[in-house]
Amino acid sequence: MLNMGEHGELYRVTGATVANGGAGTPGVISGLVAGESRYTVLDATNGRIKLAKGKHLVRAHVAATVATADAAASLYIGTRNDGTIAAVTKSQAKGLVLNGDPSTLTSECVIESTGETEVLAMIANEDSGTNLITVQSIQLLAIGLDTQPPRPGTP
Amino acid sequence: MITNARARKVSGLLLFRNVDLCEYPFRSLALELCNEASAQGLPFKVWETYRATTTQRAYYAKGRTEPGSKITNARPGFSAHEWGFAVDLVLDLPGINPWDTSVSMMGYWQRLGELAKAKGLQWGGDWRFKDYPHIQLKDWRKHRPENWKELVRYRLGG
Repeated sequence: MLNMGEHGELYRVTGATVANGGAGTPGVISGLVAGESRYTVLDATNGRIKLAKGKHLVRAHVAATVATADAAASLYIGTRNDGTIAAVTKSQAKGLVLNGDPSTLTSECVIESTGETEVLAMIANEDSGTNLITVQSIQLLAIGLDTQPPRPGTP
Repeated sequence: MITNARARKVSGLLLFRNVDLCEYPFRSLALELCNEASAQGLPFKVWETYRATTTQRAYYAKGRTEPGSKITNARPGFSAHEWGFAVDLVLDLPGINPWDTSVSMMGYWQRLGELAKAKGLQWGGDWRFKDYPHIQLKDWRKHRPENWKELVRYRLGG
């Protein structure tokens, strides 16, 4: 189990796809959690990522494309305990494809970890049509908020 | 040029170096810039892309409430890095300080600036407060989320 005492990028995923209705098509890494028909969970280590005890700003960032310009997707940050997922926050976007450039979707929230709190990112295809979301990349970042900022060196 | 390096800690602060963390519409322009700079043989590497607001707070404190010289004039929330609209590229030459802006290195910086400006981006080398590595989206403030002030407080744990 990865315990993130050092914060930074918790994980990154490339190449996953998310079909409507949540039937996740595996990309490099993709998994569908039992009981959730809508979300595809993107998780590099199959869901065993913990935050160290304390308060963290957690930020999920995804670049994705869809087949048509009016498709919609949501990006969630979730916490997990004993396999139960709680969506903490989400951002939503319609028309993910803009001028052929992969759109970005960002979601962030503050999570206070007990030291056992696991975090993950979830992307949901909100369309009832047949659009497929292709995740170009997704990153989950954690930034500690409890400590005073250290003195920076020369950047 | 590597554009998807993992984050690392420098002097206790997180440096995110993955260009993928930049936001639309800057992201693709930044990637193009990095690729073209490499194609033209310009010796640069990505130093920083997205920046946590807590990191910006630490930068702003230096030379004000913390020892050292001032390194930024941007208060937390006021750097394009915090919103995914800026990258810092530094020199990547053996034995050369990555921030070397001496006459012998200035040609590289100038060519980088020209490449960036040809894409409609702003280059910190043109500013009065010179910041040669810095490249940002023009009018990036217009692309910040509407609730950006609220987000800044949130990001600082308030």
